[in-house]
Amino acid sequence: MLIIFVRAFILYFLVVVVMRMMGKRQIGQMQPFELVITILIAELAATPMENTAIPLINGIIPILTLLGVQVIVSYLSIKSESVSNIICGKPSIIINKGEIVQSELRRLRINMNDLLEQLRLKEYPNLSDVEFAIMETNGNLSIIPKTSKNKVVLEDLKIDKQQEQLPVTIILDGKLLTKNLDSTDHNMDWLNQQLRKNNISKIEDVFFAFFSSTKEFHIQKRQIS
Amino acid sequence: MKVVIITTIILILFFTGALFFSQYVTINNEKLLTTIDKLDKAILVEDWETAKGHLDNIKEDWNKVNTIYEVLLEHYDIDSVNVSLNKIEKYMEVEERNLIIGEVTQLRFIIDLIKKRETFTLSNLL
Repeated sequence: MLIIFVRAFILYFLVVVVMRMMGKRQIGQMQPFELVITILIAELAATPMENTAIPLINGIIPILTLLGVQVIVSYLSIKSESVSNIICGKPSIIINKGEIVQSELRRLRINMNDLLEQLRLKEYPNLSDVEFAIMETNGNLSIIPKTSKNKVVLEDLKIDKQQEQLPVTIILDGKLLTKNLDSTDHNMDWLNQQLRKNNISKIEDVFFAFFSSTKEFHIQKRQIS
Repeated sequence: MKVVIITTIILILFFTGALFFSQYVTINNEKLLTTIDKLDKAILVEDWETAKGHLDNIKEDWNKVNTIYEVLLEHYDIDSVNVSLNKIEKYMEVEERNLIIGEVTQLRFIIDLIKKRETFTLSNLL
């Protein structure tokens, strides 16, 4: 039993490292081959975890091999357009200038109901509101609406607004992020002043404190359970 | 780029390691099979002293490779070899010729099977 426990530990950390090295993508944004490799890695990790008769290396080697192949294929996809087209395919224009491209629908084996469902999910219930619809290589549908149906932005209203900055976390779960505090124009004295203003005696009593995009300081005390 | 280089190096290491291990298994198992054949001949003529010597050689050679085999091969085969060796040793003590011959045949088969399984062939690949 101890063997299974330790194997699970080792394989868990291996899978975490491998998934990190594979890069940051959500399941819905993965290319098909990346999703297949993710599922394969899970399967390969499970087998030696539960069967101690199989050497641990029989799980480690295929996992690392898949990682290596996936990284190399991804790298080649970046470097070469033709490799990218073979591995990932090309985006397909399904609606072109308001007209459905029926040949593309047939080629992709998408029926009208599927297309209408996707459009509704993208908050375009009317086909007539869509100028272009593109089926991306990861299966997502991108919509470019007709100009008259575009959402209004500040530029349309000729409103000038200062560019927003990234929010900056200052305290996270009772821990002060000194680097982040240094990146703002404030110091510890100022922070302590803010804590006193909010009736908080020490940093450890703060659950979350941050500067918003508009440089406003927000602070939330830790709840005592 | 760093990740690409690291993973490429890992792939190359695995490939060369696998080639090396395949050779290692072939060479060592051939040696074991040769000694098993000698053991078999000694048992057929009931030369128990010589047979004991050959069995000790087999056990010594097997223990040398066992440390690496345990890490890289499935345990079923390794356990089968260990069981066979123990049985042969016991049967030899009581000089039970017929049973030893059966066990030696099984031992030869398993060692040969391990060797064949680790060889890079189309049938293994498929």
